[in-house]
Amino acid sequence: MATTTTETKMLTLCTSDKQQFQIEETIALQAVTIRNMVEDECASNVIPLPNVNSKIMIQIIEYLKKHVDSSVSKEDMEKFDSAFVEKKLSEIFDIILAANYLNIKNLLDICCQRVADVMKNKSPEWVRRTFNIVNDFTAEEEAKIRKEHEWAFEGVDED
Amino acid sequence: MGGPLTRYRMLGLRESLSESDQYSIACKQLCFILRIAYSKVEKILRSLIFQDILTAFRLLPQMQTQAAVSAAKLLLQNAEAALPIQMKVLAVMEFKHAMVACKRRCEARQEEECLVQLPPDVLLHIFSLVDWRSLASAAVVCRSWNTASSDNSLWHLQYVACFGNLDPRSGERVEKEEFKRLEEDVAAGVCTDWKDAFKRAYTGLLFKRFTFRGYCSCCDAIVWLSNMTFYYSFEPCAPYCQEHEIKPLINSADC
Repeated sequence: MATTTTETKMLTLCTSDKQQFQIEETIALQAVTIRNMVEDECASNVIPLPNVNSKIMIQIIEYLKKHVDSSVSKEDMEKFDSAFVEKKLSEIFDIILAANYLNIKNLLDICCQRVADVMKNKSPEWVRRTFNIVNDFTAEEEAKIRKEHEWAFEGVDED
Repeated sequence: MGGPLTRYRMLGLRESLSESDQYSIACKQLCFILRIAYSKVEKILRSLIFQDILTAFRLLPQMQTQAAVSAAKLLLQNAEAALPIQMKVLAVMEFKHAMVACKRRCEARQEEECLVQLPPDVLLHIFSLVDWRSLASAAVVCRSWNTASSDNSLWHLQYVACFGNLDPRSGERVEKEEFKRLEEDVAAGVCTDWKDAFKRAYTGLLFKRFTFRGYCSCCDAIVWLSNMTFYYSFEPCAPYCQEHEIKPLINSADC
């Protein structure tokens, strides 16, 4: 299954761009998807992660390494988390996709919270621009949906 | 409360203009001030108001909403009626520049390509962390956001947060009974449209009681309330007290 070096068990993760990462099993197993693979023994020496590229993997390993360390106080962990999500939104989105795929709940939570904080109280136009989302409504559909939600913007949007 | 100048400063109009969700309200309040008070106030305050009008036009291109454009147009009309000729010319010029910049930005935006597409379960996760106004706004963004943000469970949570446990200051028995009835429906297996229920409860409350201003009960500073979840998101800003205790300004005469 996994290669053994001295006493710690190591796992090799292979990202979409064919980079290999050797990390301690205890670190990797925080990702539920990887744990399931190992438990089901469908993982050979190398675990392929076709949905994650190496750039994102490096950041995820940084996160997992910190979180496996039980000597870190709760306060320090929160500091680390809030510094960790201070990234460009495009990166946060990539990390969200990876965390969702690897099933790392707390990482997904903090990244989603970051996105939620960004979009809070913003207009649809602002959100589209900031998140690079294309408006795929037709003009008629958009007008209809706006009308349906007029009540929420009452006093902000009335004319 | 201090003179008109102090009171005007406390409104914090200039700061509000830079917030996209407050821009149009701030513009409307400027209109109101121009119509009712401008001719009666001292010179120094007049120039302050004039500067704020220019700021409003300068910030317009950043807002990118139709509501902001129409608020700015309204402001221009009021400024034309109230301001003396030289200032009027300056204001019109600033407005024209802003409209040109708006158009350019709009064109530039259309050339950008879509980079991200989050799966529905992740969107649902994100939307469970925002307030109802952002949720309504998300529904207008694009198709996938519309579907995810209309999820019944999200609006159920919002309903509970806003009306399930009403604040005694603004609470009304009617909504509480309505809430009980709705909860009973859920228990009985009747499907409730929570978004619709929320809308009905909110619009009822809005027309009866709510304004878009609040005040601090210990220092009397006037602050913005952009939605009903202001209790959590408000940051103290005035120098008068450390921790604001914010209460909504209520329309009815008995408060």
